[in-house]
Amino acid sequence: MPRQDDNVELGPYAASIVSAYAAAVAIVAGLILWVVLDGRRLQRMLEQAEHKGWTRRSAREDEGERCERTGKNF
Amino acid sequence: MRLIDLANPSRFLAFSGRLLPWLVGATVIAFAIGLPQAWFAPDDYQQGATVKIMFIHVPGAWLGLFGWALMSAAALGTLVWRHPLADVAGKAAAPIGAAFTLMCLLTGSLWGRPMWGTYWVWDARLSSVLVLLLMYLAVIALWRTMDDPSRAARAAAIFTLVGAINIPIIKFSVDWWNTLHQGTSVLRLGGPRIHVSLLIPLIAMLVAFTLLFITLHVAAMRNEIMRRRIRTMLMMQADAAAGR
Repeated sequence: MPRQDDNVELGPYAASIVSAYAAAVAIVAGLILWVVLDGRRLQRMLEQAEHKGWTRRSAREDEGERCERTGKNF
Repeated sequence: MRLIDLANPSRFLAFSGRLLPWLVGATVIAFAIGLPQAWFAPDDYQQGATVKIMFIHVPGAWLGLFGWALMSAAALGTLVWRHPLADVAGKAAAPIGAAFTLMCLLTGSLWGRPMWGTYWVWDARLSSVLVLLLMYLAVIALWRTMDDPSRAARAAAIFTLVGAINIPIIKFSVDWWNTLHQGTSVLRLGGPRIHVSLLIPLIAMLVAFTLLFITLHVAAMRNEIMRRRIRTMLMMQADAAAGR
């Protein structure tokens, strides 16, 4: 049976518990930051390319039903 | 809209753009419910307050395995149907799965020190999870070694499917070998061996972290599609400049 306690007391192993949570927060924060910043950078690059009038071969095919099958067709 | 319609990258971008805010909201709500439950969960009668580490360690382990299983399904999509969104899904999942596997190893190590008296031991469970992290790093490196995404996708897909043999090894390592790591206590035939007061916060955190994984994966897939579009545009410009 677990011991019920209203107050959170981490006891003699507080350093291990806090370190584990700090590591988890650092990893998750790093992951979120990487995905968000990478997305913003790519969005900016894509907008700049479209502003310059660059096109993709598949651009005119996107509206159709055809499923693209090669890496070049994104 | 049929599910197959999402197989078109443009349609996937449009749909995921609408879906992402809902996924972010659901993830925030799930953590708002799960974190207080985890923090205020009662101490274990043997492990004391260190049982709180379980609420981040187990989701890390689950998502490390889930990530590779997802990549394996995507690898089949790449090799059998040669679908570009399948390899986008596989590539996007690798760094996320690696991060959660790292989280599992670090938190497990910090839990092991007070409970086992050591940060690390070369037993079957710990070693096989370390191998999983190395496999994630290898597949990320493999993607970066080839310029052509379709060639890299095939190589990464084969590597992923071969590496999938490690998933049952990790799962059953505690049954097949004598390990310092505890035996299966949640997903077992006789039902969970954890007291309900600890099981409920654990399930809440599992749901929250799984939603976080899905949210990050969808966002990373969108990023990868944009990256490939930019690459295609650059190649088109290079071809035009060369007069091809």
